[in-house]
Amino acid sequence: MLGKLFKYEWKSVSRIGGLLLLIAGGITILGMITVRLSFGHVMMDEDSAMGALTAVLGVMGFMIFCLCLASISYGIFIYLGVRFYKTMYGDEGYLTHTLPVTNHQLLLSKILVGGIWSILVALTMALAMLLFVASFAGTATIADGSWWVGFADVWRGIFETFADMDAGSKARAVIVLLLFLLTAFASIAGLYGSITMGQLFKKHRGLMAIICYFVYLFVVWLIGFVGGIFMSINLALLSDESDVLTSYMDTYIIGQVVILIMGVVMYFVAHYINEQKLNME
Amino acid sequence: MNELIEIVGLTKSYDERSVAVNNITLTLPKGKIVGLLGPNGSGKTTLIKMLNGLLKPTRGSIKINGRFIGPETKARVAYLPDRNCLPEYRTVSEMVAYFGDFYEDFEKTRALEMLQSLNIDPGTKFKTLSKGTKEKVQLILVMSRKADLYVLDEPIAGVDPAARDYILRTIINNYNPEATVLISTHLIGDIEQVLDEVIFMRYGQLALYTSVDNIREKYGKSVDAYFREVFAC
Repeated sequence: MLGKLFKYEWKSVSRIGGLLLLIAGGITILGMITVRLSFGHVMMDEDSAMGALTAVLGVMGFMIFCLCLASISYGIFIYLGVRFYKTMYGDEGYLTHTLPVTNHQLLLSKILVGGIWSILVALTMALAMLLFVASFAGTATIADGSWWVGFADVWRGIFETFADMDAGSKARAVIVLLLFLLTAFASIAGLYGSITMGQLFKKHRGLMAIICYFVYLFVVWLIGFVGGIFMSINLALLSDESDVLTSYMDTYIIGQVVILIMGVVMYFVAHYINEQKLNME
Repeated sequence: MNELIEIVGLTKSYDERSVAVNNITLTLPKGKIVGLLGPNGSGKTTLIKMLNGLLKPTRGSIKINGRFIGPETKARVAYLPDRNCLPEYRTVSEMVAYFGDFYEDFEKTRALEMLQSLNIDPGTKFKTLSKGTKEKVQLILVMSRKADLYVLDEPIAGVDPAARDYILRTIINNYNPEATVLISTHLIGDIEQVLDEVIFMRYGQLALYTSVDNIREKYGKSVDAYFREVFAC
């Protein structure tokens, strides 16, 4: 049954998720074309008035572009939350909760689909950002090539940094990557758990779900903040550059582990409420 | 074992002052059409929601086919809620496939035949259907299952007399004869002729559970007339 639930959830979420990815693609292409047309013929001379104006416009364009991408990232998250609320606790919940499936299967199917879409959107955003920056690099190359490092250089730099790492740092980097993937699912579990907690209230359950989510975010931030303080102290004591990088990764890992643990906790909270306290209005 | 539903000491209270269902103990047999009758706020829908696992009881227990409410009972209970619960963006045929995927007792051919008899195009999206047609499609999906228990919450409320006749015909012609049908309604006169037994609920309590024949013989009245007498304001 998990496979069937996943299939239908995937089909439903893909409608809006796919649309958001298309919009992201469109914005990226539009941004790249604008960069080419606007700055392609301009010499990147910061001393000239035209050069300064170009630089300002470039920064503004980049900010607008980032804002659009951030909106899409939040858009998928908000859509997933609204959809979870509607299909679990709205009128559609009458269908969802009378299916011959377990609560674990219901929650897992939704978290898996939500997590995968979060990762897809995050990767698309990263790719869009790189392509946008690369289009600047292209125009800079036309000028003098000193303004931006090339697209390929960025990648080469990442791989060279990884190759230069010692075994411990490499292991940390792999853990960071794994945590990035896992926390996508944990964040969705946190969102869904908060929405489910909102159902414990008699009235204004939608509003209470939002409040529960902000409380959840605050708790995650607080735990991460306390962990971050200890890591900052550690960081201040370090002088070796490689240790500083390791320490930054450790700080990130701590933050992600907190999200992961909270995600697991919220999953079981949601399961318990659905199993023992479900009250469809 | 002829019992299909066993309810023991069932209570649902939202707080100390608001008890929606109060200590109901009831056993329903297989193969009967049972009317769940009572005025507004008597606890009918709350009882139905608990039968379907949509509400958790405060106290007491429910067993269907000897099992507590869970995926096994949901696989054998066909439930028609008092609202449209089908996604608006889906087409009728997608929902037919959906029911076929999740319910082993769903008969797709029967569903498509019933849709065809009403000239409903399976390719139509729900959001383009009228309220009445949505209700009919939902009923068709529910009645196309070969379930052990059909729970129908206000199936004829808010529809015109012609649609009411269609809905009643669909219920009578399509339910599994070995199954029990539990129908909640206010419109007793319209449904009385198909009922075997009735449950009267008042203030969340079981006021009466008896056969329709017993009411007619004992009180010399129709169920509708007797209901009006019992619940006279």
